Amino acid sequence: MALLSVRELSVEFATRDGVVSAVNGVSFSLEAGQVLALLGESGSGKSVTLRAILGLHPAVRTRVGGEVLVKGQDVNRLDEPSRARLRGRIVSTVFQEPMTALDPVYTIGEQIAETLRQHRGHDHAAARRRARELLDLVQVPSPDRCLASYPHEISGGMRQRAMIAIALACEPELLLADEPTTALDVTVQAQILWLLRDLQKRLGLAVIFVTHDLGVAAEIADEAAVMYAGRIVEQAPIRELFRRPAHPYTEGLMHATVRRGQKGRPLVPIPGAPPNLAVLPPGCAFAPRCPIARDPCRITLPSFHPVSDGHVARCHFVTPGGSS
Amino acid sequence: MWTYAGRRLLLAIPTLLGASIIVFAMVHLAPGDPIAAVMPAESSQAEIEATKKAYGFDKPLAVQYLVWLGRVAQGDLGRSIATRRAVILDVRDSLANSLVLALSSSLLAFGIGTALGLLAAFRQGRWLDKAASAIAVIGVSVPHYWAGIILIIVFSVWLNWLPAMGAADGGGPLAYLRHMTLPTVALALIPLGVITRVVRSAALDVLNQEFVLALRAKGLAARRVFTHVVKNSAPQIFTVLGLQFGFQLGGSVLVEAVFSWPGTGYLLNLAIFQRDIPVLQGVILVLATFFVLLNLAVDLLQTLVDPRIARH
Repeated sequence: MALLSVRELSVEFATRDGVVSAVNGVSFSLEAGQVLALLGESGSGKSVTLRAILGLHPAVRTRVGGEVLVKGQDVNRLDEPSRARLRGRIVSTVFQEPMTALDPVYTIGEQIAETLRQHRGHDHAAARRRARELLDLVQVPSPDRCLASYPHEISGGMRQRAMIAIALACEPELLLADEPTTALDVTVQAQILWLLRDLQKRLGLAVIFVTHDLGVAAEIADEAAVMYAGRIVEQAPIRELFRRPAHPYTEGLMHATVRRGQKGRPLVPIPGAPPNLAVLPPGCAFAPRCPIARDPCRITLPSFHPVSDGHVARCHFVTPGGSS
Repeated sequence: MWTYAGRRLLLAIPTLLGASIIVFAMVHLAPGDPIAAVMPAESSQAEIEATKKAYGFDKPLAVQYLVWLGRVAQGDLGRSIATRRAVILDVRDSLANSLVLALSSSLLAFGIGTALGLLAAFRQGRWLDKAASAIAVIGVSVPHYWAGIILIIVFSVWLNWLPAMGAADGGGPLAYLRHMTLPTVALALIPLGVITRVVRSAALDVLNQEFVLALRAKGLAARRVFTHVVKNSAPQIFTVLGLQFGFQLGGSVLVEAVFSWPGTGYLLNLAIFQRDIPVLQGVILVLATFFVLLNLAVDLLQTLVDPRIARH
């Protein structure tokens, strides 16, 4: 049984401008210890997918469909207390911006300890001991001072380390990392990325790593899924994806990213803008921006076409074994 | 924390001096001659001059102010022109009555307002939120003296359950309680509305922050998340509670007049109509001092809750 299995997940928000389909029939699964990168630009539905895995979407004005099986339990069918038992204990989250994701009026120590008290029933002394261990684990140089600090008193890198310590407090099996390096300074980004990769290997964590940065994805992931307008448009092992991108959108992303040997060659942006999620076209959502789109693209939604073993793309022009 | 407390305390001194200057000057800027109010119409010019001299009105303003301030510092607020009683005694008795009313109405408004505001925030958009908002709007919109009159008509005249006037001098604690019930309710209406609205928006601000999502994402029980939200909204809630309590002390002139409640508002009202300047000055000065001290207390309370305020 897969650790996480998402089947036909859809998330719709009722807004003033109509029903917005933020996530539209997303399916994937993840084994223990595996790292999946969710790639895509802002608004492609990456973060919404992560929240749906934890069942964190509010009940009002939101409709969540499909199945999210965590160790065989469907999160969408669980009541709130049962969901809360999964969160932080089996599935943990690291957020993008640790300054806003930590409570400003509680110390780091209190915020780690309350997680332990909630799931493990630790008493004060045991929670404190474990909190100190965790800060050692995430390589905070002076753990005792950090424990007594409020979030605004420590640096951005330290805050993100503390956030990771909270996420790992109860030894989860799956870590959801929502752009965990985006808000940090470049030098700190690399440190946090290495730390996450190291922890993933040592603890055998499964990780879903949401990012719009292909370079970051290449550093950490085994597998990558590219999202566009709430759908997965291409999924492949990460090396395969870089070697042979099959979907025009993936190709476009790669041309728009700085790569080795880029010097002297201009970056090519993808023309146009992402579609309005309230009025998705019937066919391929990327068709209006796509250089190779033909009439069928605007009428029928392409299904997944196999490119090679474990590599699929939602494009009518995919031929097995070759690029479109 | 203590250096911050000391600094805030020092800052309160110029505020108080400023208040005393305004109180002193206000009386001299206001139209109407206090001497004319106490002297018989047929008094001679010499008699008027003598009275002026007795009260010190013949000296320059700066001298009058310093003399007055020196006496005030010793607790001597002068004598009432109308009753000849020491002002400090009148102010003390009326302040006690007003404090009782301010405390009871504040407790009523704080309790209900905070509970309603938090409930509304956590049930945003549902019927409970809408009901709380309706109550808040009614609370701030209804003039409290009008509400007082309606309360008298319903509970004193029609139902005959509660007394309409006075504070039941010498009637024992139970009679006192019965007398203060209606003015308490009338006075609680405005702060109830204000507090409900401020608490709701403060809690909503916090609820929309990402860390609340993060708290839920790490599996905290709803009860614990609620505690986090309340602690984060507390500084804003304290501010409005402190301000409202201050208003309750000084702003009850109309309600005290409607219920003939012998408090500072009633005394102020009386002093204004009798042009009783020493009483007017005494009441306003004591109320202003209370307001400043109250704000100081609120500021210090906030530093206990929110570490970001004092540590910078």
